Amino acid sequence: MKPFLKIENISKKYPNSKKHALFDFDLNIFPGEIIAVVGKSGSGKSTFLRCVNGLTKTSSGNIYFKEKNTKSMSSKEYRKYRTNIGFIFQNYNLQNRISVLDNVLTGLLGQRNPLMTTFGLWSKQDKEKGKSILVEMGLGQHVNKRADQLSGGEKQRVSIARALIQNPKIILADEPVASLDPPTAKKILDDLKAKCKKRKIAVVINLHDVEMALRYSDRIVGLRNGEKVWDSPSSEATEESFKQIYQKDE
Amino acid sequence: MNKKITILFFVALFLWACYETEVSFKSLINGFADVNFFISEMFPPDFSEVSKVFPDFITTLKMAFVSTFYGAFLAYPIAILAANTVTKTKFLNVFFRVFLNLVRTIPDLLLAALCVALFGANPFAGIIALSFFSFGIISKLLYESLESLDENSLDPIRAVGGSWLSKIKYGIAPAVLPQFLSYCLYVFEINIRAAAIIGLVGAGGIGTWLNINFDLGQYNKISSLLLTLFLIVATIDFISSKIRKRLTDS
Ligand SMILES: Nc1ncnc2c1ncn2[C@@H]1O[C@H](COP(=O)(O)OP(=O)(O)O)[C@@H](O)[C@H]1O
Ligand SMILES: [Mg+2]
Repeated sequence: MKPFLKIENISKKYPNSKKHALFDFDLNIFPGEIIAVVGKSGSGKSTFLRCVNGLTKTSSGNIYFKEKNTKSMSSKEYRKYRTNIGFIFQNYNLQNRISVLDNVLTGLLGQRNPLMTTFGLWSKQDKEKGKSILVEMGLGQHVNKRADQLSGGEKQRVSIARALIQNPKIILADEPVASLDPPTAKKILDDLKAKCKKRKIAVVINLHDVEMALRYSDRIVGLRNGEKVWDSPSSEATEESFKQIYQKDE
Repeated sequence: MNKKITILFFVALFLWACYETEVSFKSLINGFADVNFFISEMFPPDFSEVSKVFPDFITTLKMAFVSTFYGAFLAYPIAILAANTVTKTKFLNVFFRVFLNLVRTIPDLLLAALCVALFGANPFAGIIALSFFSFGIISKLLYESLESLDENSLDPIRAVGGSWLSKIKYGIAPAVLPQFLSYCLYVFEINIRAAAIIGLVGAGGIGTWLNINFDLGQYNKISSLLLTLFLIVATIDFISSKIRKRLTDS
């Protein structure tokens, strides 16, 4: 099998910052695999995910999607590229003042006519699809509620639904359960994994909890000070590897 | 010690300001004598003509309402173009910010006098003047709300390749709607008073009657008009501030 997303030597240095947040990072991502990215706070996990879908601009390096360099894409092609990527934020990032269903539909904004969607004109199929994904996420009774009426766990389920409706090739999840209590966190990760495996969507998930990372991923990537220090199937990750990832800086 | 110097400094500043602006107790006391004369002339208020001029009260309210509407209608897109959180074109931001500042430097009464000169002494002139005035306030307040929006809240829309219009419809508009409505109500409150006052320079509405009665020296009719206006303004302020409170609480 060939990787559909190739990340080649990407680095990121934020303006006004002396050191690299991400340095010379490589990763090949294969269809349907689940990769956990672990590392201490500040090790560059979020920066990495945001560089992949262009929320943050890389300073150098290349990203290839199906062999095509994202840097050589026209803005239209890049928009198309982004529709292949679902993103799940730690703080859910829902629009609180609109309905749960409308929040889910925003996942399709890059794929539909901007004029139609600006007037709230969604096709019947889109609305039905949104509803059925919400039902699948166990939120059937919340479809028309305002998003700010939901609990944290429910909000994160909505944001998973928002990613799923895109029909993405890959979902990037940035510490999706860090703000939730452990039982809720576990249920949500179980669901995320099941839905993505069923649809053969690849997942890159940032987690700081090692146990969770081992349990939910096929592969583990360790980041330390912006550099990749570990990359192996989860079954081969050892105590030693985590020590290396989490050890104190001299 | 420091405190004493500060107090001394402000007292000196105050006295200097009084001197420069030729405020004196003598003129203040003379002024009081005139006020005394007016007040005694104003009582008892003569309500005999209030019902006759009632349509002009309605005209004043209509002027206030319509101008708030026009002002808001113009302010919305311009504030969006001026705010760099929403519109990412630096040139447009700067251009519209300068424009907004220019609009606000024009004094309202000058604006009203100008409109009367241009369009004649009628409510239309008043509406144009007040619309400009409303536009100035609403666009400034809205622009500040937009600038203080958390840009991360737009990430989900950027992440899926959503357009500028999508960002406005699904990210920005719902987020600032309560504030926007609240500003409109606030400006409507101000506009009722302003609409009555610019009537004095001939822009129609109840101000016309204030002017006529002033010239005729019928101060007891003026007082009846002012009391009626006060009642109307107070009622609307009361209702509007209740609504505004509810808007900004949710
Ligand atoms: N927007 C930003 N501007 C400047 N520095 C940033 C920004 N975001 C992150 N950083 C810095 O980049 C490094 C990596 O951060 P981040 O990617 O958020 O790590 P993690 O997600 O692993 O906690 C940190 O040193 C952080 O302070
Ligand atoms: Mg992070």
